[in-house]
Amino acid sequence: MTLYTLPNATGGVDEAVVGLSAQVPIFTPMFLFFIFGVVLLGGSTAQKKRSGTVDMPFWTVLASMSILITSLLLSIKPGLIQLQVLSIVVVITIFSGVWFFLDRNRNEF
Amino acid sequence: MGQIKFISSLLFILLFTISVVSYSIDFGTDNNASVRLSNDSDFVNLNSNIQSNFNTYRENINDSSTSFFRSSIKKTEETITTGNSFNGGVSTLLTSLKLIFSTGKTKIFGGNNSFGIYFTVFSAFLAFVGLVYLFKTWKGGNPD
Repeated sequence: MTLYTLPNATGGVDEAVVGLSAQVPIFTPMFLFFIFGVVLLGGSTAQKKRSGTVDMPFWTVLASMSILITSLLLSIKPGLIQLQVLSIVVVITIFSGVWFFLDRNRNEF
Repeated sequence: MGQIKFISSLLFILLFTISVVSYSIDFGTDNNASVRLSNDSDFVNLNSNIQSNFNTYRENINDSSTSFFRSSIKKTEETITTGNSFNGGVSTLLTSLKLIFSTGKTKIFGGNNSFGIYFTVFSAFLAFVGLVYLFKTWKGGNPD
């Protein structure tokens, strides 16, 4: 039993990804979550090694901006991302900005 | 976080929101994207409402400045009798922040009001902090 129908790769990589998104709708949100996690964990871990402290709001903003740009690029081609997912990404970016700006200490802007 | 820091944080949050939403909307329009944020009326309304509130904020600052420059403190008076000169349109900024929270709540939790209380409490707390800082400016003392 196959989990999903394999996409037709003869139309190019983008068509294959569109076919994959149609078969597995969670593909795009999980792809964005993966980018978010890589930037957040990678950046914060590297900063922890380098300076001994972690600025989590900063890395959350950076990770959010990364998935926002990726989402906007995905929004160009039909079938890759839904409007609801794009809206939630925008909201996450805004909320991480709220956290970032309210977290700043003195002379830290 | 002092009062100037708090107000500047609110301003930066609102400017950041306008930047993110405007960029996302314009990106879809400029690139003829198949999925456009401009099709979501909540974000379009949020953007225009915040910009409108910024205009109100500017007018409030103008009024506050004018009333401050026209005010005077008598010789034996320790402080002025009203804090209106120093309110600086904070209520307008907090209203915009509440708009952001309500839009975010709608987008993430949909029409379900079960989680709305979190955002209500948080925005009410922010309003409380803003009022306490205004009181600090007017009356003196440390609210921290």
